[in-house]
Amino acid sequence: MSSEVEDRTTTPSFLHRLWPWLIELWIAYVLVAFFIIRIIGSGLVQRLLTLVRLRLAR
Amino acid sequence: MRFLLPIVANLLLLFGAFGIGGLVRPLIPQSFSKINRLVVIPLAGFGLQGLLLFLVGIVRFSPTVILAVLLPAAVLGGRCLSQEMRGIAFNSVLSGLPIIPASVIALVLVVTILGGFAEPIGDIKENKSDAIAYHYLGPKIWVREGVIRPALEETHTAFPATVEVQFAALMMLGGQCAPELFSVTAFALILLLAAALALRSGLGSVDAWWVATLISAMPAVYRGLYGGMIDVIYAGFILLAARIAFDSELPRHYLLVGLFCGFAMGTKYTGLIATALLIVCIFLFTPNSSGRFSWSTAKHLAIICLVAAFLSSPWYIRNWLILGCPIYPPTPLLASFFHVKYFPSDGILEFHKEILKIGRGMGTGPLSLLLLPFHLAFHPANFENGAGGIGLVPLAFLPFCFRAFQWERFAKALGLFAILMTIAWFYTEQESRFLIQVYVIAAIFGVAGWRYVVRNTPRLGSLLSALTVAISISYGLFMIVSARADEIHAVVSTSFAESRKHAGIPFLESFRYLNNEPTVRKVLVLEPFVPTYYLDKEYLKPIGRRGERPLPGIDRPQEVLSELSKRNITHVLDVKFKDTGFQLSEHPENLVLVFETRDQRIYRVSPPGS
Repeated sequence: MSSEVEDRTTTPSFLHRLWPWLIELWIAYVLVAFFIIRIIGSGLVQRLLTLVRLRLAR
Repeated sequence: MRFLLPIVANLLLLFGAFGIGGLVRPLIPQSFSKINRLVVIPLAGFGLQGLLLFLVGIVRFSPTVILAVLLPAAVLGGRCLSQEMRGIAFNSVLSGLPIIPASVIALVLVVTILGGFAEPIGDIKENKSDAIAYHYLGPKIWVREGVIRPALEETHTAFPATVEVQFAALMMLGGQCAPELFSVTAFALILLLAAALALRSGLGSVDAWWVATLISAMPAVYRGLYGGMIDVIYAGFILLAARIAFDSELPRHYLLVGLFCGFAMGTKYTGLIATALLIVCIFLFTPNSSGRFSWSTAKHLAIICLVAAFLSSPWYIRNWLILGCPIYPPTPLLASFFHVKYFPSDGILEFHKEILKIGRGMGTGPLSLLLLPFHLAFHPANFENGAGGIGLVPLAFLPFCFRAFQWERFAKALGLFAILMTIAWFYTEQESRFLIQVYVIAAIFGVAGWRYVVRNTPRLGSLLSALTVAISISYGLFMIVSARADEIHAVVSTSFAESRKHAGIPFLESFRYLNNEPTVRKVLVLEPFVPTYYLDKEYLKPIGRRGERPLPGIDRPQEVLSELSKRNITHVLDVKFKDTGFQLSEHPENLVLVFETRDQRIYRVSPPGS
């Protein structure tokens, strides 16, 4: 009986604690994906990286 | 005068819209606040003014006629505006002004105003400029010929043209740049409308400012309001129809909904789809219906349908009578039912292949539909006219808006309407600017989600949210300013304006010769891809860029050469592109070469024996 009561009280609080982390994780994912795809993946940065690579190869 | 005339013309048009739009004031629901009224009146005015100018212009579209419509309307507009502005506490509005949103909006506004004075420049090959191809071409021809009729060599001038008719009035009053400056009006109206929708959806006034800011920094929305684009005004009609519909109670409110649906259908063919979807949402969500069929619901929906059909019918009936099909160019299905004139069936098929190609976006499968929010955020340039996209706010915060709202009926209806429009867009033509109305709704729900995130994740979440909003706005501003940098440069530097013209207008030298030479009265343009928008004289183009055949029985441009005198042609323009040669031989019969430069030749018609 006591373990049942404990389960009922701990499960929601665990989700409650997890939820803000999930939100932050999601927004962080969106930001990181934006940087990788739109900034690092952009034509300008790609051209700069190619130039750097060519310099280093010499 | 270069700046004054476009400003005066646009002010006259705006006041005219307030004047004519003031007629719908008795139809506006009592519960509507000042901000709602200040959007409903001018947008209704632009719809009615466009329709009125069109109906008059079918018979006669002269400067006198245009002024006879606009001047009395503008006088009424001044009165209406002063009445509506009464009671607005500007001091309290300005004192509560959030500084960052106001600065961002002011920056985009300044860019829009400056860019609005630039001359329209562009090419029609490979669909580079819709404005030069038809949005501005039709109005220019209507003003020159003194009557509104489709240019048969350019099928797109037969589109419903509620906004373009007003471009024509602007051109007549304020010159070629005046329609470009109309973007300022469109910008102001869409932001006001977004703020009004945000307030009605349950957001606070500061949040409404943020909604307006995010929209002003969305390059995909901005693309629909300048350079001859009419999509923002169209989105305004649709959103207002929805705004009023979900709060309607009386038949006169539904009449107003019908008016805006009619204006949308009289602006773009996609208005037909949007109206049908709106009716579904009204059926499910209006206070009187709640998803159950009743006679009162049926009556209200019938009012909307009848009013919308009545107001948009002039465009569709005109097309049916003159061109053989109400929707022109027709869909392949309609083409099999109607006898379409001036556009051969292979041209119609090619046109639809092109639409499918342009509108495929990042695929049309179920997985692409699921990934659409990611594609719109991270790969916006893969959607036609979508470069720059809509920022990160919709993707980052929309998932949390479901917990942010109490989800009262209005928000539910608006959300369903956005989802249905997105699905319809996904399966028809995935061109980014056709989804502007959904982007506006996404910004509202995005800000609601943002507020929820800030409340529930006070430390890191708030920081990440602020970063997301900052990046969205900065990236959007960068894309918008860089897209308009050349236009702004051309406004402040005459030498740059000249070099921009040389770089951007194909066959500029020939246009200058033809426009300045007084003996030129009517020009035969042999090459379909010559942008005749730049030609100030009357012209004849026997074959259109999509294979249109404005002259029945003539399938090659050269066939017109035997009828030059009969058709009152005085000059012939022959040009060559990189991949084609000249259409005429070196010494054509009865033609005298009067002007030649790189890839361009102009002949004067010399009748036999002269």
